[in-house]
Amino acid sequence: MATTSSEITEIIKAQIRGFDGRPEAADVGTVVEIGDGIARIYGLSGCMASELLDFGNGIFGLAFNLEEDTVSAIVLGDYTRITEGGEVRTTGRIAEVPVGDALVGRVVDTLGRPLDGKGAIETAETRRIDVVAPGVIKRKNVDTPLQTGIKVIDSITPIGRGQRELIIGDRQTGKTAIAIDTIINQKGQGVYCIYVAIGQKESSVAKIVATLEEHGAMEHTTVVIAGASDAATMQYLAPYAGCAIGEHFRDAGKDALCVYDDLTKHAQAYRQVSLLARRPPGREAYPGDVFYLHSRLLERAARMNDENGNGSLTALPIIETQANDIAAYIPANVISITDGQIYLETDLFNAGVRPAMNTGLSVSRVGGDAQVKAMSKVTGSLKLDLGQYRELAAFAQFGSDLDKATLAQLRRGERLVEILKQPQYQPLTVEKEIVIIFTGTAGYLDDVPKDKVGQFERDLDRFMDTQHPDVGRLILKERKWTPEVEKAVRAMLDEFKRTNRYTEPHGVGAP
Amino acid sequence: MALGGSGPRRYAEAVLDIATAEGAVPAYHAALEQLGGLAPSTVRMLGDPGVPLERRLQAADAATKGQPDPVRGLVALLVRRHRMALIGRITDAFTQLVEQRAGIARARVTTAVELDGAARDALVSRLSHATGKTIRATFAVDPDLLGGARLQVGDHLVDASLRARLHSLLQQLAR
Repeated sequence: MATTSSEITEIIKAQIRGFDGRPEAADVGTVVEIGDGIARIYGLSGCMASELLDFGNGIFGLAFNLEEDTVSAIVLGDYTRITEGGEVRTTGRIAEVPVGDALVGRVVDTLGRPLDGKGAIETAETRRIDVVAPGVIKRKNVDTPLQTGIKVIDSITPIGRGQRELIIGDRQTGKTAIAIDTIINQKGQGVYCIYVAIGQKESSVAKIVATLEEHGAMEHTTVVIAGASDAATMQYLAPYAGCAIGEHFRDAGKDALCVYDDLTKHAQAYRQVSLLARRPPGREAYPGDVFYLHSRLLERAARMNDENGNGSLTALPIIETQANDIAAYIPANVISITDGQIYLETDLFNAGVRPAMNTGLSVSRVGGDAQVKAMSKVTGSLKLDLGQYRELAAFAQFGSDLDKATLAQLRRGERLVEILKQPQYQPLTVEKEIVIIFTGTAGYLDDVPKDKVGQFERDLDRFMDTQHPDVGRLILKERKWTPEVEKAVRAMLDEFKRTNRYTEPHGVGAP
Repeated sequence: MALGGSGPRRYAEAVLDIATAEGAVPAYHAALEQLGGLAPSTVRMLGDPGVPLERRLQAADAATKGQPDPVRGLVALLVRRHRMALIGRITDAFTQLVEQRAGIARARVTTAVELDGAARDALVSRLSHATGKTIRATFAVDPDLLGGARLQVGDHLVDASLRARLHSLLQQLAR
């Protein structure tokens, strides 16, 4: 930016002339107690709930508890510079974050201040951090798919734009990986992504940002960080800030995706703040309104109707469980709030099934309406087949003689499990997902050895790209599983199987 | 500063209600002020669990001889409830409540230079006019304000000092 010194002087002169020197009027109070990020303030009798308070020196706080003589405020940022006896003023405002296109590709903190060293964020627009979610009149049903590019999710638990789908599982089960893959897959799909990291190690977040950059996904992504070393207050507010950034796109008629990683730590940060502010503890020492904490956040994910711009905000909250206990307090709360959950298991992960999604316990309550019709047709029986396979597999472990039909079912199930495996950072396009799942459900893999299924899939992928790009285009054009589409896909698969042979090693028999 | 819970105010409200009903607010006020001025050692003795309750009650009775009965009752109640330490704050709360009900507001006026009597009177009358209350003002001088004045009535602050204006100009320019 080329600015001459005279220009600056002119601007300053204009500003000084136009300076509105009206006296400031505010309610004031005195800090009587400060510590652990909580300030108790005497006075401030006109203070409003959640009002932004000015502690001076650029330090702000939020009114948290309004009591008879005092106000408890949570301090945003460094509370060590606040002293007892210091003056506090009301501002008449609620906490806000900058929003808009200027935030895309940036890494910011809870208050929208840049953390990536790429300079100031040039945007005039701000939004309130904590607002009430849009009501029923402004919404409509989820009707457009949000493709994650992950076969097992797009087929069994499809996600629609505007949905809230929970990703839940123990530590080290690939929860974040699913969210990151989904963000990577939104490239070129017109979906703005916001990744909110709550209470995570700065090193993990740095790695995630590097991964997103490497895959060109930062071009449509904003990362909001409240790390493990940030104040609990910042961690508590981070998801609301991320949500406000996403709401800007939603209300502008665009599509946005917000990942909250993770809400367990968010609840813990809120518990800390609440206990320090002397709100009474409830179950597991969480305050009584911990349900509302998450429900009001996730309600802001919405699919807006045509009169309200037709935008959407999809939420992918993440919850970490302890020893697969999904009936614990916070997991059970968030499960009941969301429109479905993707349940990841350590045992599956260790058995090499990655993504380690438990297909029996995972559901998507509304995503089916949004699923591409061809996909729902192809995957119609997938969930049932997998369920039956799991039961049979447990039974067959006893190694007794099995009849032919059972063996065939086991064989089919094993291959279905194989095709639903997918490496990280390799999201697939929807037409390829459809074809690959069709090969499994239609029995094209039954004569392919189990350990060759991955190879088969990779070869088929290349074959589709090089020999039959027309099939993919046809699926995308039709979007339904019409007889012509099925004919074209079958013809392609027959041709592929004629030219590629996958046999058992050393000619050993089944399964 | 009425901190330390709302207890003192509860007692003060109760006494004030009785006083209002009897139409003897000034007398009660004077009695409480006298109690509020009790020596700290006396207050400590009255709250000392090492001294038998009977003797403390007798002492309290003797100390409040000649006061209105409800005030004596208040002291006996505080002694029984081990709340004697609150007496000073109850007096403060009582004063505040009396002022509040009489429509009196306390104001703090801080100026950069010392104000003369006429300026003070003008300021107070303007403030009473603006707030609709009788203003009981205290005046202070703070050269750091550079110019103008800071007026605080209750919790409400109007900062018309030169320092505040320069500060907001600074913030506007920095933006």
